[in-house]
Amino acid sequence: MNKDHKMKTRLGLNESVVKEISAQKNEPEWMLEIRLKALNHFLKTSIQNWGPDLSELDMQDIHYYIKPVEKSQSSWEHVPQDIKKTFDYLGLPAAEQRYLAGLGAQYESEVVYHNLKKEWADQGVLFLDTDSALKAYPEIFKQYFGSIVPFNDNKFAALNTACWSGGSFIYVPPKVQVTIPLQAYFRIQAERMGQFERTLIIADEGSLVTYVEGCTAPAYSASSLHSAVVEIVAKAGSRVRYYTIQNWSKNVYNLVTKRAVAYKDSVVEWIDGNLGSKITMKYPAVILKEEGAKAEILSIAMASSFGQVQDTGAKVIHMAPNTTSRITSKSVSRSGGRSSYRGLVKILRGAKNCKSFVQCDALMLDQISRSDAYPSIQVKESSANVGHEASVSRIDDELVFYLTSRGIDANAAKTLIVNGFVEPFVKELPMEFAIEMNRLIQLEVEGSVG
Amino acid sequence: MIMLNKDFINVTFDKSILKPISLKELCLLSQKSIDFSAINMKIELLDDVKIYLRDDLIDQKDLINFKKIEHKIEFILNRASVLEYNMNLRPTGEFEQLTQNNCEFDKNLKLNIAGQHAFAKVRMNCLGLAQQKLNFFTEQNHLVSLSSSCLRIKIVLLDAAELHCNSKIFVDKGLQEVFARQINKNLLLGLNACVSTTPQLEVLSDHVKCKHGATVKTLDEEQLFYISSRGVAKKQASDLLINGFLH
Repeated sequence: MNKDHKMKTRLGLNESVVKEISAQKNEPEWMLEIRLKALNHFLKTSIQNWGPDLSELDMQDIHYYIKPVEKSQSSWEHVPQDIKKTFDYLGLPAAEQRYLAGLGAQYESEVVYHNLKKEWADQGVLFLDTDSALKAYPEIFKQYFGSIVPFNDNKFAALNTACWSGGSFIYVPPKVQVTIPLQAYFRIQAERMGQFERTLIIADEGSLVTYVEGCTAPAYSASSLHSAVVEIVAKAGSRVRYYTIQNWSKNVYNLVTKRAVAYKDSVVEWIDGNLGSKITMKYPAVILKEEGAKAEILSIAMASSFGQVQDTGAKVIHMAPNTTSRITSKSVSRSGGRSSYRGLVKILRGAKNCKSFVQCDALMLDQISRSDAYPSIQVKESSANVGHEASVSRIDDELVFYLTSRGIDANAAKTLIVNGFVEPFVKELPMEFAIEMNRLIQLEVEGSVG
Repeated sequence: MIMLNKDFINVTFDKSILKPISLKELCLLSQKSIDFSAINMKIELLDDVKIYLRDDLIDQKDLINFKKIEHKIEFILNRASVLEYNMNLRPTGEFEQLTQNNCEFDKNLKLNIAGQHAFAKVRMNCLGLAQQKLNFFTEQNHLVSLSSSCLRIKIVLLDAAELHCNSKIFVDKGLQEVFARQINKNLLLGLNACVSTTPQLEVLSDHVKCKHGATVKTLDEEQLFYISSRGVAKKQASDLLINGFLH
């Protein structure tokens, strides 16, 4: 284990661990109270009885807080050498210069680097790590923290609320358009580590913001846990786009709660890529609270090794008239992986003229894999228009034959077809990610087909 | 061949029957008096048997008169057997004026496809009104290669009727050439009607084609307008469209 860690809690979780985390962060009293309430709820509730098997996850064999550095830096030079090397290797500083409006980097439990370009800072955009935000803007923070995902929402949201650390806090003032993306990068370096970042995005009226989140971890023999909570508030007329590309190593449990509330005429887009991890449970949700709001959820899951489970999905709740949503989910399973779509579209009474369309396509590359779809549609309003479509199939032999007859070898043809299959997802990604993504898919598919 | 086991009816077909078979008559063959509000049946189709079943266990009147109806039907399809199953339940005329009725209708249909080249085609249409509760549970279990099934449920809901639909397609490990389809289409017309539908796919093999779909809609304004512009009263026009939907 890394000896450079400034401080870490002992294995397991109890009240003293939570108090220790809170004391380390020098938090106000009300935050500690919430943490303890959440811990209580976490210990009280049992693991859900549906979905993938989490029995191998030993909650008492995890470090709940590891502090890698003394404080977050806003200059890349001041980031400790070994951490800098890791992020340099991932190409982050270069990307920041070229494509990003701001960048945050989280290493274990703490954000080690955070910076926002002057252009946006001048317009009043706030982009900082969640811990600093609690200190600097307690009013905004108290108003929104836990307002969308309360601590008693589910077991893992409670766990996150009890020992959250790090994450991003974004506030975009009215009418400000952040046209280039903000990015945060999460890295778990230690084994037996729990990362619980908390992200809060508030887009004020008429604003626009794009946020990109990337996650990686090196492979260890002992499992790690990543359990994030993301809350988004999209005020009237705003537009929020949230990208996640998750490429955790194949021993990370990724149990995430992501939810957004969309007010009048706002648009919320979740674009969600799940490539890594051992077990992922992630169902980005949008609550369409006021008239004219729109939700778009696009996700891709690749379950590509034995025992890997991608239990992903989407959830949209239409609470107001004239709201629309669209969910597109693509999954590829191979080498004994299992991918599932689990979703919910709910239209409440009085939400007139809502439209929703759900499409999930699954591709199976071999006989030992598995693919499931569990969508649920609940409609209580007669003027609603809801459609759902799902299919599971394998690569069409005729397509492969067509391509091989044009002189492309069979493996390349199959890679091409898989790339085509995930195309609706890739084309939504910013350019530099799209190239990366294509390469990742190529890596995942190569040698596995044929 | 019919076996009766107290409340349990076991039917085995060993040769094809070309005429449509009424499920009600089939039950009556076994016993003179049967309570049609609670039926538990198991129907097996032996090799190469083709049958066409018409589900008339209850009719429109029963759907209004009974408090609770519970039907459990399980099919076993052997090699190269073909099953066609139709149910069409639609209260007409005076029933449509009904405002108070809280009949609960549970339909539990299980298709076990256990023989190669077997094919099952199931069609169920139903109209719910007043405070009726319709619960449809279906399962399409594919246990062998080279088999196919398709299932269609079409429901119209008026007033404050409720539908709860749960349909599952299961494809076992290591199968080849399985084709399974399932669709649930709903017309939601009542102001207080509601639908909850959960189609499920569980696929453990790759050489298959499985699809499911679900829609919830109301009558198309343009179609209504087109028919009324031809001089048909609005009530009749919507009746026409509902009839067409349930056809």
